Amino acid sequence: MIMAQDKLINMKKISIFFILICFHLFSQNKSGKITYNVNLGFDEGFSNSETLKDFYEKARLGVKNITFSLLINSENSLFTMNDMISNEDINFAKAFIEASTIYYTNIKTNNNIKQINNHLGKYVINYSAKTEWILENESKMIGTYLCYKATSELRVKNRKGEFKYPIIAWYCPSIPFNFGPKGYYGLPGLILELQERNTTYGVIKIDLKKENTPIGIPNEGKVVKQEEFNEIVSKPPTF
Amino acid sequence: MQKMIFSAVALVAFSFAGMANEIEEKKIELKPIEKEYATILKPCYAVYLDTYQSAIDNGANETQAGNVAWAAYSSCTGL
Repeated sequence: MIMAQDKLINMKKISIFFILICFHLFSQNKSGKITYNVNLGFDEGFSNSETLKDFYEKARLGVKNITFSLLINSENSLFTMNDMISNEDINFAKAFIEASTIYYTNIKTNNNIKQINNHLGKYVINYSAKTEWILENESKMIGTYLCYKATSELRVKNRKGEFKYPIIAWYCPSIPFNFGPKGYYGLPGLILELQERNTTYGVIKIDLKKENTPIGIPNEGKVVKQEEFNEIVSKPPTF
Repeated sequence: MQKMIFSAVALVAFSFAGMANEIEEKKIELKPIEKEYATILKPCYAVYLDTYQSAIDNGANETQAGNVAWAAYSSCTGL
């Protein structure tokens, strides 16, 4: 009699466990659209250069009008600039932060694509985007979300030499998507704030959905390798 | 007879005069446009190259340097 009661209790426990698991699975967010604004901080190089300082100051004003969207689902992300009416300050801002570049990431296939759209035309580049993150103990609240700090380093190689800049990401484990702005990914939670050199992307809106929204791969433009594109862009255009 | 010779000479003279005017008019049409392009674009081309080099010197990547240089060129030409 007691054995039968125990079995019944166990069965009930197992049923409740399964119901909870099913509820959890169905209540999970499967896709979303995250909106970020941008801030351009003081930059030792650009702000002090005789040639660039005026352009950079214009960019710092213009950047306040620029926002980006990050579309996410369980496998992919797509980071694009939102449409706006342009002026000279905004044009400089777009140029300094490379705002016209679209970033696509697929974490299952490790497929990373940049679609560059500038005065030279449209180009599609497959690139390697693996970031070596260092998870720090620091945390802070962004809105109502508890976020943790992760750091890395950006290495820029150009004809002058190699330059190193800090990357600081604030990710939120309670939003279980491994993506972030500008093609960054690989952290245990969505990146709500990202600083790369002098540019900071900050979340302004989070819109999560229960249904899975597919994300298209950017494919407009000539497919080239990063090295080929560097060669193209390093030559002045014909005027 | 004299009248006929006079008319023929006058016709030839006026024809040359007319042709000479036409050539001169064409020159007047083209000169200001060429001058305008030369005066606007040449210094702006220098702005492009200067901006590109400064961006590279200050640690911009190639794409960023090209974009900034183009924005500077567009601002210079007003196009």
